[in-house]
Amino acid sequence: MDPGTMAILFAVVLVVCLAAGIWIGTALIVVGAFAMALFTSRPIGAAMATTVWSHISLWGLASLPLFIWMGEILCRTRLSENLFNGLSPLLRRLPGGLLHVNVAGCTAFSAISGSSAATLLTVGKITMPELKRRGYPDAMIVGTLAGAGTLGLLIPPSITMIIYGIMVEESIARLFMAGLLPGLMLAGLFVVYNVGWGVFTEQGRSMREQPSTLREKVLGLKELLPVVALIVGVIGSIYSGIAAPTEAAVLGVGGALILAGLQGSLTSKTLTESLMGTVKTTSMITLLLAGSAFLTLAMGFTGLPRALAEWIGAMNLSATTLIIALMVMYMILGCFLDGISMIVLTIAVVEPLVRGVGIDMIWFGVFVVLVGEMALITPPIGFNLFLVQGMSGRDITFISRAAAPMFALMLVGVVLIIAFPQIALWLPDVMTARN
Amino acid sequence: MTAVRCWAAIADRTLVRLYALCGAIAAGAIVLIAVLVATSIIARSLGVFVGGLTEGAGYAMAAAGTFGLAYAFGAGAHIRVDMVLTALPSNARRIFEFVALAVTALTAVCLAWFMARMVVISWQFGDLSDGSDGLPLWLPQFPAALGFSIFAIALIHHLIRFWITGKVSWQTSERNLLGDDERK
Repeated sequence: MDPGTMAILFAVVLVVCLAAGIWIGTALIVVGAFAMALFTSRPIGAAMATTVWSHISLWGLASLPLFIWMGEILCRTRLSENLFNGLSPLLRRLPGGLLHVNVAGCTAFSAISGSSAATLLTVGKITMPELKRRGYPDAMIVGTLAGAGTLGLLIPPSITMIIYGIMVEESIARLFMAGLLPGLMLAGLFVVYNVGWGVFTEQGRSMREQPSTLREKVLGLKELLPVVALIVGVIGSIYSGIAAPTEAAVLGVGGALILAGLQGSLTSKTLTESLMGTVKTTSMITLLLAGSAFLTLAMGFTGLPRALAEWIGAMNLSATTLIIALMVMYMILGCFLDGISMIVLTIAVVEPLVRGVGIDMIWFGVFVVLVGEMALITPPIGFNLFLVQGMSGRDITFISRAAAPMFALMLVGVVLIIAFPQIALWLPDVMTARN
Repeated sequence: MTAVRCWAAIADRTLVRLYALCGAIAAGAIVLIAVLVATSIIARSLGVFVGGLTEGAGYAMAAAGTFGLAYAFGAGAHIRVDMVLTALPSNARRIFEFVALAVTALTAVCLAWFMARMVVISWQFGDLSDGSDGLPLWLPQFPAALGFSIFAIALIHHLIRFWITGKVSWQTSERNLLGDDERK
């Protein structure tokens, strides 16, 4: 069977399994078993058991529940109030006013929680009522929140990055370094958009906030300090090479526990809730990883990824053409799947293709995560759009339209990292050279 | 008939408690990961080498991820694409739900069976870990196989409930996503 037919056959089986509502992790196992039964004579069960075992018992994977737990603890503190109170005196004088708090709050919160949905829900719960009370237009509130809420996937420590790093066997520390500048760049684009609204629209010009006093600024900084210290401590210990991501995650959990304890929000109830929330997410990811590890192995046995890579190689495609083709594919997938599922589903076949044309896998990680983020707010179907819909009570058409400029800005971000790969690769190169 | 129903209710409640217990064990395993990694940080800063901590954290990760599977399923944490299902009329949807759940359960049973067989093989051949822990491999593999087995039991349990009541007995994702403390 030629690779084209084979690829179509597997894709059809996979799509049927997913559309039928089979849980994604087990759907991957079904497709893997199908492929092995059809194209190899190897024992399926034994291969499945050993692969699954070796992929779910990795030390590097242990950073995952720890970072999730850290986020779960912090979500139950008054962290988002602190962010709002601290950022507001510093940013509100800018054109665009308190909308910047939405963006900066999401950026800071996503850095510590690693989850897009958690960022959106916790920050939005504080900023949305407050901004509404001050008379900001709904479209701007909803749009900036939906857009900036996606940053959680890119800014380290990111759960999606850890999973990607484990699947393609690249350094998670380097991925964390690569994600920082593109994440900040996106946040910067959102800020520029807010400023533009504040300067160029009638409504925006009328929404100027009172300047803050020095006292307010100092008090604000005091509220921000614990959060900033935690972020700098966790990310800094990874960047400086003092700690591996798993070790930094333990520091993060410790810091989160201390922070929650000092605020008095660390009760046995919140501690239990945070742990059980962590168990749910960890198990969800474990099942995905088990399925994906087996699918990758099965695909390897069929020889499909190598054949496809050779086929693409023979076409003399440029790296850019391949990337644009992949971008379109991921944007379509993103309408139905979240970022993590998208990666575990496609990586078995995509990894050899991308390596084949000589694309840096660290850069590709940033690219995939960024496109996955964008898919979260693709109008009119996007996961974050649904979340914001639930929070704001406005209909999906309104929310899609409000988020559309953010979607366009993210597209600009993707184009920028394709045109200038150094945005992602500069920091890891500099850091690794120094260590 | 009533006796059967009574026993079924007891079995049902016992199983639900079992999943919650496994969830608690998984939570314990996560705390254990934190303790093991913290110990290795402290040991390293004191210049002492304690063998097996790295492997231990990996084993605890496997236990945490697998023991929570059944609990996570009941809480609706596992993800799938339900776009087609929700678009179907309710009769057709019931059939599709059943088939999807049955295929998922069957896959989980296979996975649990082969994991269990791997443990038995590791035990029979006396396989040892390559790491500095030097443990016989069946020891850390056993909890993972047990976690998958309980997951398989849970899926069959949900399948039987669905067969009898015609309703899904796990929390649906919509409820989760809008809850304040739920995360994707």
